[in-house]
Amino acid sequence: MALMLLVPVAQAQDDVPRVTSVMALENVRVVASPGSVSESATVLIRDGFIEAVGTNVSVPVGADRIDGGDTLTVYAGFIDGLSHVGVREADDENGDVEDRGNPPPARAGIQPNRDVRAFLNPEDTAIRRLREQGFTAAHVMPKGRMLPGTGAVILLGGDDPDTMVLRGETAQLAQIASASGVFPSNDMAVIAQFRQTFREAERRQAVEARYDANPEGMERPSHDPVHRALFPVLSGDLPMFFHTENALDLHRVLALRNELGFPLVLTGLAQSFDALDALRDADVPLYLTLDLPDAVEVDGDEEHTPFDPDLRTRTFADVEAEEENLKARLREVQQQYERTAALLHEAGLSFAFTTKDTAPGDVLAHIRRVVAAGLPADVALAALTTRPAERLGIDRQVGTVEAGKIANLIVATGDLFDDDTDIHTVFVDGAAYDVTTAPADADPDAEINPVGTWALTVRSPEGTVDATVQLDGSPEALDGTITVEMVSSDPAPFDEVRIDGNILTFAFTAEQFGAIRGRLTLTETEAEGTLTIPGFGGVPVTGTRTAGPDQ
Amino acid sequence: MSFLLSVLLAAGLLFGTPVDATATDDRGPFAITNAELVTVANGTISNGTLIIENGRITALGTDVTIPEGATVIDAEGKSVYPGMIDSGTRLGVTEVGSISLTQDFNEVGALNPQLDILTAVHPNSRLIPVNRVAGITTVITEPSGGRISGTAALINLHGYTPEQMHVGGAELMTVNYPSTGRGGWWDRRSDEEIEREAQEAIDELNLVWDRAAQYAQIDSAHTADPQAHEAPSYVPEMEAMLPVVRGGMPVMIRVNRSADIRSALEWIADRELEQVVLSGVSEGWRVADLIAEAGVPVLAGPVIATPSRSSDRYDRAYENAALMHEAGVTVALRTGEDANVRNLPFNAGFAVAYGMPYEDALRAVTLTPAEIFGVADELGSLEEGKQASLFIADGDPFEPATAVTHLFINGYQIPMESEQSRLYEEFLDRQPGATLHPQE
Amino acid sequence: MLLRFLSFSCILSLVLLLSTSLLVAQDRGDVLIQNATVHTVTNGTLENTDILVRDGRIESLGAGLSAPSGVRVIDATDLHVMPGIIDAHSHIGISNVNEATRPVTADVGVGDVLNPYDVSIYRALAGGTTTAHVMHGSANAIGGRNQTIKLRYGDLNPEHYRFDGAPRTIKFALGENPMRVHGQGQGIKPRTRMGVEFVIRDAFRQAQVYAEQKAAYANGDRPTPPPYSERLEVLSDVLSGDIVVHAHSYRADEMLMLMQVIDDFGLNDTFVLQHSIEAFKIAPEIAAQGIPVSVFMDWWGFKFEAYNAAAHNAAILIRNGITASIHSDSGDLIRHMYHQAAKSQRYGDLTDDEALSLVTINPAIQLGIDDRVGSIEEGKDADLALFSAHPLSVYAVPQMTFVDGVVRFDRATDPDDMRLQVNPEGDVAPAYAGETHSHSHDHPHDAHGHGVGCMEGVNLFEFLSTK
Repeated sequence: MALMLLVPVAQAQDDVPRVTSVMALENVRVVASPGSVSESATVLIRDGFIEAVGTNVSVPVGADRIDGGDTLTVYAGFIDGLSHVGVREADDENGDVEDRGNPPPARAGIQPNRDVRAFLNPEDTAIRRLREQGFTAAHVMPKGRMLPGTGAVILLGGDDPDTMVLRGETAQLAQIASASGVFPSNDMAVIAQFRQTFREAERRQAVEARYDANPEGMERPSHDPVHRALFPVLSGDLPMFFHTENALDLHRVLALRNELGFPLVLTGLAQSFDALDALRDADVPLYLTLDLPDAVEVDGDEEHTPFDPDLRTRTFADVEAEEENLKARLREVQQQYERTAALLHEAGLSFAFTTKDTAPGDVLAHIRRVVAAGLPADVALAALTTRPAERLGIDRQVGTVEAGKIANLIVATGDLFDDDTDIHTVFVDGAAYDVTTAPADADPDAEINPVGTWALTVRSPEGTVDATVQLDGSPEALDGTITVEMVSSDPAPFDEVRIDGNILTFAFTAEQFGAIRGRLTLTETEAEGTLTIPGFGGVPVTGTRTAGPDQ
Repeated sequence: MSFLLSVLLAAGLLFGTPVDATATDDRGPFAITNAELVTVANGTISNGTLIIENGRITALGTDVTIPEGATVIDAEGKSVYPGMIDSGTRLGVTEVGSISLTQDFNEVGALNPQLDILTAVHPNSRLIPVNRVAGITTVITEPSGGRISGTAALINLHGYTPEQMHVGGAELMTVNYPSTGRGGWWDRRSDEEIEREAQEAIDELNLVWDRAAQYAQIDSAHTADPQAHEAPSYVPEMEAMLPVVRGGMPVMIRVNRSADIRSALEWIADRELEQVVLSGVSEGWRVADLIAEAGVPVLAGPVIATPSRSSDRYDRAYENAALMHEAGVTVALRTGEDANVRNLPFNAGFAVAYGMPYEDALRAVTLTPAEIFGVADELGSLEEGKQASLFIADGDPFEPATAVTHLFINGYQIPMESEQSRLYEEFLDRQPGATLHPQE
Repeated sequence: MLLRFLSFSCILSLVLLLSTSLLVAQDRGDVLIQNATVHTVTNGTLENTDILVRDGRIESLGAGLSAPSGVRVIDATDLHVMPGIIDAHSHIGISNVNEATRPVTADVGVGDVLNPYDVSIYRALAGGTTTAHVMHGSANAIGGRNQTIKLRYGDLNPEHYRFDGAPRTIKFALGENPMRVHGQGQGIKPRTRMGVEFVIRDAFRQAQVYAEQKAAYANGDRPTPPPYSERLEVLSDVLSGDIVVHAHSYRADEMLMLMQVIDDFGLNDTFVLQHSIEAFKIAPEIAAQGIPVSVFMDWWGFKFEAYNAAAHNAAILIRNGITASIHSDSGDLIRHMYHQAAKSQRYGDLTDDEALSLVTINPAIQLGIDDRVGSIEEGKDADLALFSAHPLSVYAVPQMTFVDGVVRFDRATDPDDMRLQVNPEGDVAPAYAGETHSHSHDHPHDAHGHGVGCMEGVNLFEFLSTK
């Protein structure tokens, strides 16, 4: 951008000793909170806090300064209502079990006794990527399946897990997420397992209370961290953040809540345009996903004739009309997802946003699509700042640009919701982070060394299967094996395997299927692609690196 | 594995047992009298007589002399129809669906033109009598799998060897046309990937035809002058393709999606194939004009099936045959079945219910397939000189309540019996009845 | 990925809901059907008869009825009306079928994962079907609970599909499927039909012990309740007769086995046999014990235990005085169950009413809903199917289908695209490779597991693995 304002900003990441802890943002437009704007103002930051905000602020000598030229705009840093940013993968939800119908709780995905603070990883590149989208704090949860554990609010900066934490034990996360190859292996069983886990927790709570009151004649209750972790949920003290991916999930979670009666917060809510009545009746806090369908280009028919639901075709002569109509419907459906936030707002349902399941690099673009589709910008800003701050109990520390708050700020080249605006700098805990262009997701020129171990999740038509890829040799001469859980415990050698840039391709032979081919796009730590099975086509695969190349 | 093996052993024993009654060697003469003769070729003759001698229809009409010693079948109130032909089944090449060792239609490998389905037809399959008593005398039984699955054949549903069952006329080289469709909704390959894979498959198919032509050239040269020209080296696949590239063996292309049908028609034109037929064709209605224009006949079905797309109107499979027929396509019907080929008349009935004229639907299971398979001089209608493959019914054979009362295949009178009808007789009123009640 | 692969994302535009007359928001309709041939099933066939429907119920049946003002009148001259068809065995409209990870999964239930977006529901309506018993799969000796639903397609709330007041039911499965999945697949019981019996008896005994422990706690005889078990809670309800057992079975011997177990536990009144390919062989025993049976019309041969079959099964059962029904177990067959019923007249000698009862009043009795549906009688739910011809004719084309008096299918205005959701990231009009089948070779019991049916949800890889 053609800004004379590109004064050097103290890099939070650099190694040269700093001489001041004061930073002044001068001649900036300040959006202190949704709807509250000051022009030509100064924001003074000291020791990580906002010391002063206003048009009449004196800047100490020797402070680092940024001159905003009256166009740079300062916002409160965004707060992610729910995500897994900065959270390490735990590896205890896979592997062989003796009795797959009754696996240990961890293998089944029942780990409410886990605390996300034990899994923080300041090195996670997603922190940088999300920060570059304007996020300075996030409500993070352990990764996992149906009951992954309790969450914390963290700051998206710094290199010490403990100082990142703003608040702990925020909530339990729950989701209708099945285990791999063991009970509960599908949604239906997960719902049954929720019943089982809650009812048993209730029983244990009662038994322990009785024992505490009078142990005489009673067997001493065994230590049971899993069920015990749910006691605060049962007593209504700890909210249950229940993540949903579509309208069916939403109805199912509400039915469970009505049956088991836990303090519910609904998150995700994609497709909630189909369940507005149920949402209204539920009367629970909402966190709406920022994941949107890819904006698929639907070609043809420039005039965009609206979808005609009554169209009846008969013969070959009508096939074109049918196709145009189906395209029109697809276009409308895509828009419907973008319209969801506006729809909820118009229905009087207030929400904050979550980036869970959203590619970090897409978040700001998605926020802008949502605003373009009718969500008022102020409401969007509130859903990203003040509202999550209040709901997460951190509104005295973050969420607005006000003196005394933690210096979590976005400095943008203009209106944040405008497509042409860039984020210039993001402050987290007073430290400034330059925004650099994120690396492209697919890059044939990338130099990824895939050697090591990759844990893959294969989403077959009838269930999820875990697989492990072991790659040996060098990028120039790869060799390796794949082990597909439930098919065989013996690794199958690759018939061929190679990497081109960040594209890994391989083939192996499975007795039941013949030659199976895979194609994965890799980052240093993640993999995504397809496995093509003869007679079935390509099934999606995702994965993460669990070892190597240097390990 | 031992469980599976024991099942197979048990199965093998059963399949080896001649459990079904077979036809007598009585080849007549027979005289079917007082019948409505639905000839298909030449209208319907009321109160007619039909004579079967030496396996052939020797006379039919209202003024027919009954030969000396003929067995007379009084068909008062009944109708005689030419035997129905199912244009696509797996009869004889599968016995029990879940036991792969009883299935003989899908060989390992992608290119198998040298495989002949007749090799594997099991004349004593229990499935055959169960299905033929519906009035189905003749079926295409076909291989599947791979790109070229082998040759399909037209068989009569009576005979003790595959050769006896085989109806003259060419066998058909079965080609599974490459599809650009996804395997299912969960198939996440990119459009480009799918397109590329389909194109590679078409390229491979072209290569097969090119190499076969090359092979034919070498072979012809050698045949013409064995001294001057070397014999072709042994390539079984190419040897099997010789009758295809030289003409004489028709090609049966299995294809369903409209885009694939379109591509297949282009390929047929490119390769200048003349003897070719499409099979399956579930989305044929979408490109019915192109099929009609290309003049390629279709073996359509099953009719009683779900539509191919979730956005399709619910009855698309029901009306597919009718819509193709309406657009001028030559349509024969197939069930794609094995255990329930007996539902062929009901498939034809559904085609009628959803728009196909009755006469054409009847033709689509009789004379039309006979014409497509080059056996119209033998089968498909009640005409003098044709094979006596026909049945007598007490009503419209497409109606479930109708009973088929007599069946002739190639002149043999076939008992109206099968394992299932015998079970019915035995168990309708089982003796002894109930054993001790568990509570007693 | 936006959504988990199992759930098609997305939705019908509201436009569709508003402009398609049949998808009205109301649950109960009013209508007057005039001059129809009415197949009541329980009281014969009435010519030139009117049916007046008020508030979703059949109010009166007779000649010359007049419509109260505002009530739609349908001229059904030359049309036939039969009771809405009831499918006693289906797997449509649910997100999961099998939880195949253990041989006893009484704790799960398909009622928890109803899926109103399944277009199979509409297609079933287009074949005159109005009620379906949607079942857990057959991977386990004791599977999950089933759910009886009314096909109220267009309503997006899964809770609205439950058939109010229908008895709870549970799936049991004998023979090859549980033996293959658990015995062959995992090396645990059951690997034989002996093992199937043991697994069931053992589960029943455990449930008895559990119930005794709970009772002891309630009486103050023990200080704490037993560890909570959702599975044993459900099984206790089975043993107390609150949940009806619907048992997938093929061979006569295994049916006799389970009939003995059921009799031992006193559950004869809450027991229905399903599939039961060889039921005809033991019709006298089944009749003596008073067990209803729901069978395939003509499917057979798809596996070894389905090889000794006769399409005459239904007719033999009826002639032996058994309450028999024909079910679909298929997203295709559920669209033409009137035709399946008609075939009972080819493979047997059933009368028209007997044939129609196979898909109406008999399944209603088996599901415990015959006081509400299954015949055309005053006071019953107005679940009705209109046909162009006698519904047992192959030429009969369903014209309109009513659920609680609401038109859920109308051939005259039926548009192309009746999906209630489309994948926003999907193809414009996905058509998949491969053949369409008449659903017997890709029957779910078939080795390849492609179909939507009993073995759905048994993991593809696992299913094909040989260990």
